Amino acid sequence: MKLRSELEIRETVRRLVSERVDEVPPDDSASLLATTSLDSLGVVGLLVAIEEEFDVSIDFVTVDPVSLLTISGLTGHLSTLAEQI
Amino acid sequence: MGTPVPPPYECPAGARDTADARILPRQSPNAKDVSRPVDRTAPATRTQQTIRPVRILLRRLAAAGTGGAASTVTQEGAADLVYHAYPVDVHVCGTEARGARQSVLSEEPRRVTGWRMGVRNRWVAHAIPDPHARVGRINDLRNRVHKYSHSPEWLDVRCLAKCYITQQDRWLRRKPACRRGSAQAGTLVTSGALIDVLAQHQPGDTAVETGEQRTSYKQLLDLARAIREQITRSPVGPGPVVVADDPGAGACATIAATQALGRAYVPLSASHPAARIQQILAAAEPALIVQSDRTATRLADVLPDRYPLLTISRQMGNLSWARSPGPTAGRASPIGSGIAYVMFTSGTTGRPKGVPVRAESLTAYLDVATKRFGVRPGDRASHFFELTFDLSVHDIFVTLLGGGTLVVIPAEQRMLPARFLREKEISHWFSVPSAADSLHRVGALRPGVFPRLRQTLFCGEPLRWPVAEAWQTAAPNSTVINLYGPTEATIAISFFVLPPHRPRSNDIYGIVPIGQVFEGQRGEIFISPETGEQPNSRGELWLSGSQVISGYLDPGDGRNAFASDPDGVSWYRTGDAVERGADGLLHFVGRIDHQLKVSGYRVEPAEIEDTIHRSFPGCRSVVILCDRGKRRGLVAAIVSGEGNTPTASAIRDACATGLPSYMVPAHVVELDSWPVNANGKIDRAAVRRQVEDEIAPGMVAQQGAKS
Repeated sequence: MKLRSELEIRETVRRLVSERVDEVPPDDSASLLATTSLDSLGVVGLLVAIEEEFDVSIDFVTVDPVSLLTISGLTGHLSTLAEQI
Repeated sequence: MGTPVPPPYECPAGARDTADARILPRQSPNAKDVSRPVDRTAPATRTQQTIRPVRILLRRLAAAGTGGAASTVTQEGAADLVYHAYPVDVHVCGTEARGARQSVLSEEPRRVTGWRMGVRNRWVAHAIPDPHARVGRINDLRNRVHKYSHSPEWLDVRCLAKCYITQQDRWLRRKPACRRGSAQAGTLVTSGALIDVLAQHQPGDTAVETGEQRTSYKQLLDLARAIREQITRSPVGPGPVVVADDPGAGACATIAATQALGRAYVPLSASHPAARIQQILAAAEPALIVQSDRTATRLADVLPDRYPLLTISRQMGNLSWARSPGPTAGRASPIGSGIAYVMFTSGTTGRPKGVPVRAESLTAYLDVATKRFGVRPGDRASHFFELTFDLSVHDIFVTLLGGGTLVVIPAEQRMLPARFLREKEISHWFSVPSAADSLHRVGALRPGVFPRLRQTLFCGEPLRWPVAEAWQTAAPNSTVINLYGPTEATIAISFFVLPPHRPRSNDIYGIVPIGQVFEGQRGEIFISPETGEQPNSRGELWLSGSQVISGYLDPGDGRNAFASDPDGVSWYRTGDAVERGADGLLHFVGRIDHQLKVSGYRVEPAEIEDTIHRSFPGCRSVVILCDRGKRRGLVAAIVSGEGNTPTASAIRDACATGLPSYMVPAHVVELDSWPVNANGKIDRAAVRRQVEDEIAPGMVAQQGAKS
């Protein structure tokens, strides 16, 4: 994973979300399932895109998927991964 | 170059532990008489060796519950060894048969020498994936031998045959779960008996687990009895019971109570829009509604006042009437006695369509399911489905009848359930293939990641081979079974057990076969006279039998969905296009109409299009499912007439007020005009191609894009 600041990560995540929905929720802690047109398959597509964009592998066997349903949750998880590198 | 001669035959390892059967072909006039009486005390003669194992096999088949073994077995008719439900593979492995076999196979490069009985006594070719298998209905083999042999001694050929069951059949012959320790050993379990069966399990065992909350069998039984008491003692009129609850112990107890009372239950999702809930209530006219205190808040302003309302508290066991049943009688429910449940699915008429499933149909399904896919005490089975999805009926009944623990999956975990599966130590998994597909896409199906899984069922959508194989790798100790069945055929009506290796003959469009129809049920491929013969005998799958409903709640729904044949047999037309593969199994290849599947949910585009048209009369729409690119999901393609074009969010909002969330289009694309076919009708395939090719952020109708 390329080293990026949390702000960069957040903006990249928002961009990836905006490519898939009409309106990105202004509140980063809002559930993408509840506040956007993304359904569960759409979220999976977003997660795949995030893995490709950041060149990371999220371990979905151990990570609670609920924590990845918000922009803030995604940003936090990716920031943690960045720190571990 | 000559036809390759197959290698010398070796008896497959799997055949060695099974019954030998020497099967005599029809005797030629020159053959010696073998019909003399059998002296059972004397050492077995060749004739006795021939007949006895066949009888043993037939007994074994009958004991395995395969639907009955078949036609008569006589000395000459031993060759007619067949049975109805599942193919028996007869391996010809004796020295005397070798020449015959090679003679046949040299003329049959495809080695299609297996047969099984289809409906109406029609024989269907059946190829066996095992490269060693030389499978056949002996009569047919004999006929071929006769045909291809020029030597008179072939007329007297005696095939030393070895009968063994294919892997699928071997699995089917396993001892049914209900005979391995659960309460209802060997008996036919009706849905109404669920409450009695609950009493037979260990009272302290966990019946239902929802998050941290565990409900024992005793608690569940007490709750079910309490609900039954409340309904019995109160002046509740006849009619079904609406279950307006989330999956969990409360819903299970309510369902057990309603079945014990002989009432149908109608599941209702509190997350559905008010308009849809009211449509369902108006169609069902229930005697009462049972809700939980979890759903009560969400439903407070939605449920009409005229229905009695019973609330189950979070503490389980505390029941209270939120609206007591009064003496006033409502409209009579169209749901009569003998109905176990009614599921409302998407309908082409613009409103939900009620599918009433008879108790008899559910019993027929449970008879198969508890034997073949059953659970035992100590097993932990997933509860993946919403109550409004008919596959939830399997979760509840099969698990609780077997004495296992039903582990409810939180809604937000269904998307990627890997962690849930491991943490909750699930042994029996049942979901739509989408769940596995998602895990496959994110790389979570690592080898051996689900070691505790012993049985996996998929149903509701086409299961792709790569996903199925990845799942099998991730769950190496699990049997993986692909089920198929429309709601109208009671949960599932056919199955396919994933073999250890993917047979080439099973690969049609990369989709796992839907396999073979359950014993006692019938499936026929109907080829429309209008379309004529299709490649590979492709046609629409028609279903008949005790699991199949005879009509919808509203007879006006689906007038063309049912048909009778000249024999008076009623058939349900599934609308699913299938082929029968060279393996004799059914393969799903698509739909003959426009119906879509979203995460296993049936979606009729017409219902969404009707909602859009009613909200925006000047706007015409075509709803398609986009599975490419970044914007996957339901897409409403619209063409506006005069006036302002509705915005994407306005269209989505309009849909959200009347349709479940899975039916709300994720995207809206505006087209200038409709592509049409030669008949001047809208070409949906062209619309889909156009949308998929063009869909991109800039192409989606934005706020007032055209106005």
